[in-house]
Amino acid sequence: MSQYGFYFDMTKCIGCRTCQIACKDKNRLEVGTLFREVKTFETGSFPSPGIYHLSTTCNHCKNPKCVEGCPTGAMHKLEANGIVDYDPNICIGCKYCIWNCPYEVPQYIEEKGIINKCDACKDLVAKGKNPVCVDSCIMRCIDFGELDDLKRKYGEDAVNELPILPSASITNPSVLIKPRKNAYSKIYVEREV
Amino acid sequence: MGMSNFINKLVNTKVDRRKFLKGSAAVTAAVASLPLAGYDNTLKEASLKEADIAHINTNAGKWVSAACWHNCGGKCLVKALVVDGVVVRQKTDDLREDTDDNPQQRACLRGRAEQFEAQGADRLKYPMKRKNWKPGGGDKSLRGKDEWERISWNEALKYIADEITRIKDKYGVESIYSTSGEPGPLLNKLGSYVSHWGTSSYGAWYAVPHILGIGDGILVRDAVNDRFDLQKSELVVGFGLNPAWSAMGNSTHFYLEMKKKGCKFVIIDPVYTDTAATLEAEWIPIRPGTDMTLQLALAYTMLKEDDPVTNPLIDWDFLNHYTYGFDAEHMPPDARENENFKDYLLGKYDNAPKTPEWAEEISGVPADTIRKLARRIGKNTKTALLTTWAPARTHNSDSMPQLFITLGAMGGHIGKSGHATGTSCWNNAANFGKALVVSGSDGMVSKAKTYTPLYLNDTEGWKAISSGSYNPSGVFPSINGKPADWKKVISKVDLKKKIEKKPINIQMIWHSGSAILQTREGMKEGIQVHRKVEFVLSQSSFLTTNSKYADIVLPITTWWEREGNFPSSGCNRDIMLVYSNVIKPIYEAKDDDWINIELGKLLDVPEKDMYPISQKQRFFNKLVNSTVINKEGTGYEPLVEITAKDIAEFGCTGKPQQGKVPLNKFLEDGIYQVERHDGDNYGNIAYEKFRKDPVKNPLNSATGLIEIYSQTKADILYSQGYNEVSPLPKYVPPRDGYESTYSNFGDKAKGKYPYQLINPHYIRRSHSIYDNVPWLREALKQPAYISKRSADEKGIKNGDTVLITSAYGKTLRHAYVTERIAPGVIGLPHGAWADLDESNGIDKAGADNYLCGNISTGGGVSGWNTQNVNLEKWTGTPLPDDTDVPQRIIF
Repeated sequence: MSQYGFYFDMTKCIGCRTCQIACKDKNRLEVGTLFREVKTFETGSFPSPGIYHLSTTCNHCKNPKCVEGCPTGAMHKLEANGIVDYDPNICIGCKYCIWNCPYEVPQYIEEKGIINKCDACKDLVAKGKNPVCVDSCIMRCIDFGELDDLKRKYGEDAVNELPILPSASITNPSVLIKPRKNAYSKIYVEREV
Repeated sequence: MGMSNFINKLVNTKVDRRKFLKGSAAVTAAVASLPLAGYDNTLKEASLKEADIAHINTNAGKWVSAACWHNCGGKCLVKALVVDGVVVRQKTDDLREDTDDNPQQRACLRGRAEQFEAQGADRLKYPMKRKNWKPGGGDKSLRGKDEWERISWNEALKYIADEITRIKDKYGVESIYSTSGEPGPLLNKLGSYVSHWGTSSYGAWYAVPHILGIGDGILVRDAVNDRFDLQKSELVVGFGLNPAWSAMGNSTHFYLEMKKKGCKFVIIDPVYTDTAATLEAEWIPIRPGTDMTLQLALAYTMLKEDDPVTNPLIDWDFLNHYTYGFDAEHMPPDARENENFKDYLLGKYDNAPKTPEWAEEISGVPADTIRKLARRIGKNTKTALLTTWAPARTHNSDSMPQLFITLGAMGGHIGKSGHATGTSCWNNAANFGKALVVSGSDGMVSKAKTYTPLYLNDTEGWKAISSGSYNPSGVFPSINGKPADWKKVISKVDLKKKIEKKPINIQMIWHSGSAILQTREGMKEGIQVHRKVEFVLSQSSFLTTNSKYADIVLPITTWWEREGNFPSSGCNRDIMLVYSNVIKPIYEAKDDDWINIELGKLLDVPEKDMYPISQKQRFFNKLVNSTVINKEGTGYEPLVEITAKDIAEFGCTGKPQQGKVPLNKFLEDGIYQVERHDGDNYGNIAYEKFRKDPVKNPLNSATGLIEIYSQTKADILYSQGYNEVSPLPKYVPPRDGYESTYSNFGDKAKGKYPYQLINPHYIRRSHSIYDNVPWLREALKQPAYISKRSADEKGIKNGDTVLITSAYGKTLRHAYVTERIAPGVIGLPHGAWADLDESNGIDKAGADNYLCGNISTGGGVSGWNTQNVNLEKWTGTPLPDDTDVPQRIIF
C-alpha cells in the first residue's frame, strides 16, 4: 500500500503561520478549528536562547489510532495513498478519535456535531497537485508525497520523533521533520506568539 | 447542510457565530470568524455546492488578481476565486516554477486573509453619524462613546458640506486638518488646509540620508547591493535585521541563499528574532536606542587596533579620498566647527573616549564582544553592514545614518563586490538596486489653481493642536518629496535662523486613508483633541480608531471593489504587480474619489478640476506608461503590449503599442517578474560608480563626498528649531532611552519608569491593518514580550495579564515570558486597535501609541523603539483572548 506523508523543514520555518491560514481558507474553518497549526517552543536561557516552530497537522499514520477507535468507520485510511480520511455522513460525533489520537488532530465541530480534520487536500492530490499548505509556505518548509520518496529526497536528517511529540511507536506517523538542534532539548516551553 | 443553507446562515447570522475554546466550556461571542459569503443588497448570494466550496480546484468561478495593498514590507501575489460575484477562496503565485533564483512571490498569512478586508462581517455598510451629534459638534465629549445612527449618503454629504463651509467661513481652510491624502484634490482647491508629515517607520532615515547623499533604502534604492552580489559577502552584521517579521515576501529566503554560500550572520537586536534563529546568527543582545554607542566603540576599536601592515582593519585610502571629517587633515571646505570624528572617538571634546567599556555601560554589550566584532569587520573581510530603520526609530537618533556610513567607510565596505553598508529592510530587503519593472504615470494634470498645504509634524501633532502652536517647517517633507533636489529646497530657507512657531487653530479633523490616531504617537492626547474640535469626519472600511472618535463615518470601498490599479508603493525590484477589480462595492460603500466629486458639487469645486480624467483611464495610462528593463540592463522599454482591440474593450483612449507582455496576460497573471541569475545584466553594487571615480560621480551631498562631518546636516537640523545637532555623528542619549530609566544614571538609581519598551512590526498586522481579522487574531496573540528575569522580579508568570504604564498612558496585555529578550526590555507589537476602558482610562488592546507621548527632537523623528515604562502584574479581571473580543459590527 502506498503511503503519503508530510515533510517539514523546521530549520527554515520562521513561524509565520501562513500554512495555518492557507489551510483555514481552503477548508473554510471557523476560529477555534485548526487542521494545520503552527506551535512555537523556546529553549535555553538568556543570552543563548533558542526558538523553534512546529507546523503540524494529521500525520496520516500507518497505524492510526483514530481509525482503530472509530465505531462507525467514518475515520478510514485511503487505499490509494494512505491518507487518513473521514466521512462526515456517517460520523456520529462520539469523539473517540479525539481521545485516541496522541497528536490531538481530529477537531470536533460543535455546530455540526461531527468531527473534521486534515484530508491532505485529497482532491488536489488526486489531480497531482500539492496540499495548499505546501504551496503556501513562504519559506518552502513543507513538502508532501510518497513517504519513501521523501526519505530519499531529504535523507537521514529527518525524524518523526522529538521531545515535544508522542512516541512514534504508537501510531507510526507518516511525517518527516528536519529539526533544529535545539528541538532535541528536553527542557522547553510552549509559547503563543 | 447544503452550501446554500450554509451561506444563508452566514448572511442571516452575521454576528452571532459560536466559537469554542479548546479545553474549556463553549463560549458564545460576537465573532464572525469566516468572511461573509453573500450580502443582502449589492452582491448576490453565492450558490456553490458544498463539494465546490471545499475544493480549491473547483471549476466554478474565476481566479482574479487581487490587491494586497498594505504597507507591510512585502508586496506579493494574491489571487481570489470569485464565484457569482463573491470571493470564496484565495491562493497565491503558482505561475512559475519555484526556484531559489526566481522564486514565486508567495503571499503571507495576511495576504491570504485579505478576504476579511473586503468581505469581513465588520465592514461598514452605510454612512452613519453619532446620535448626539449636531452641527458644531453637540456634546463633543461623547465622541468614542455615543451610539451610531444610519444616515443616507445625501444626508451625510449635506452635513459634511455644511460643516466644511461653516468652519471655513469662521476659521479659514487652515483650520481643517486632513490626516491623509485622499481629500487633497478637493481641499487644495479651497485653500491651504493642514496636512502632516512624520518619519514614521523610517526613523532618522527620513530626509537626512538625502542630505548626506546616501541611500535611505526606499526612495533611493542604491543603498545596498543586489541579492546575487550579496551572496559574495562573508559576513553580515545586521542591526535590527528581522525580515521574518517586518518584510515577509522573499527577503528571509534571500538571506538564506547568502548563508548557503557560506556567509555568517551577526544580529544585533534586543530580541533573539526568528530571523536570527533561522540564519543561525550570532546574537548580540543590545539595549534599545543604544546602537550608536556600539557603533562608536566598534569604530574606536578599529582605530586603536589598526596597523596598515600587521593588522589592516581600516581602509585608509577610502577614508582619505572619499570622505570628509574623519580627522583634522581631512575637514570639508564648509566646516565651521573645528571638530573631527577621530578626536571625538578619542574623547578629546567630551573627556569620554568611545571605548568598548564606555559602550558596554550603556548598551549592555560586553566590551570583549565589541572588540571581537570590530576585529571581524576590517577591510579584508567581505562585510555587509546592514541595518533596518528600526534602531533609528528613537528620539535624538538624527546622526545614526551618518554614523552607519562612517563605520562602513572605515572598513571600506562601500562600492565593492561583497561589501555593503546601508539599510536593508521593507520590500527591498536583501535585494537592492533600481527597480527592473516600473509602473507608469497616470497622466493626470489638473490646470485648476491649487493651494499648498501646511505641514504638521507627527511628533508634535496632537499636542500642537491642543496648545494652538506648531512648527511650520516643511523642509523635511519637501526633501523627502524629491530627494535629488534637496539643495533647491534648502536654498529657499534661512538655515541660520531657528524656525519660529506659528499659531494653529484646528476645528475640523478629516480622516481617510491614514490610521493616524492609531499609528502616530500621543494617542491619549489625540483622543482629547478629537473631543475638542468642532467636527470630526472619517472615511474607512471598518470602525477603526480614527472612525470610533468621529462624528460622521463614511463607508469606503477596498481596492478589491475598485478599478484595477498598481501598488501605491513599489514592489521588490524584480517584479511589478497589477490588480484587477474583484467584487462590486459592498452595501453602500463608495470610494474616496466619489466622495470628493459629490462634495465638490456642494462646494462649487468642479469634478474636472479634481479629476480631469476618469479612474479607468488613469489605470489604463499607468499600464501604457509602465516600463521594464531592457535585455542589456541599460534602459527601459514599454512593458505592456496593447492592441486596438484591447483599447476598445477597456473603453479608454490610447494608441496600440508593442511591449513585453500582452495586456490581458499581464492582468490575468497579476504580475510581471524579470528572470534573474547571477551575472545577469541587472546586478547592482551600491556606490560602485562613486568608488570608481568620486570626482566624476559625486554623491548628492553638499561636498560630493561622504560627510563624516556634515555642516549641512547640522545647519538644517538647527533651522528645524527643536534642538541643535553636531555636524559629527555623535551619540545623544534618546529621550526615554536606557539612561533615562534611571532617576540618576551616575548613581544607578532606577526611576519611576525603569523598563524600555520597543514596538516591533508584527505579522498579525501591517501596521494597524488586519488587526480585526479573526483568523489572524487566532494565529497570533499580541502579547507583551517580557524577559524571564524581569518577569521573575515582578512575580509575573507566562499568560498573566500585565499592566504597562508610561508617563502618557496605560495598557493591558498577556505576558509572554521569554529568554529571547534582553532583561529590562519589553516588546509590545505595533498597531493594535486601541480598546479603551472609559471607566479607568486603560487600553486593553496593547496599543503602542497609547503609551507614547508627543516628544519633538532634531529632525522631528518619531521615537517608538525606546519608551520608558513600568511593568506590574494586573490584579483586576484578566484580559480575555483577542478572539473573544466582539468585532466592531455596527449594523
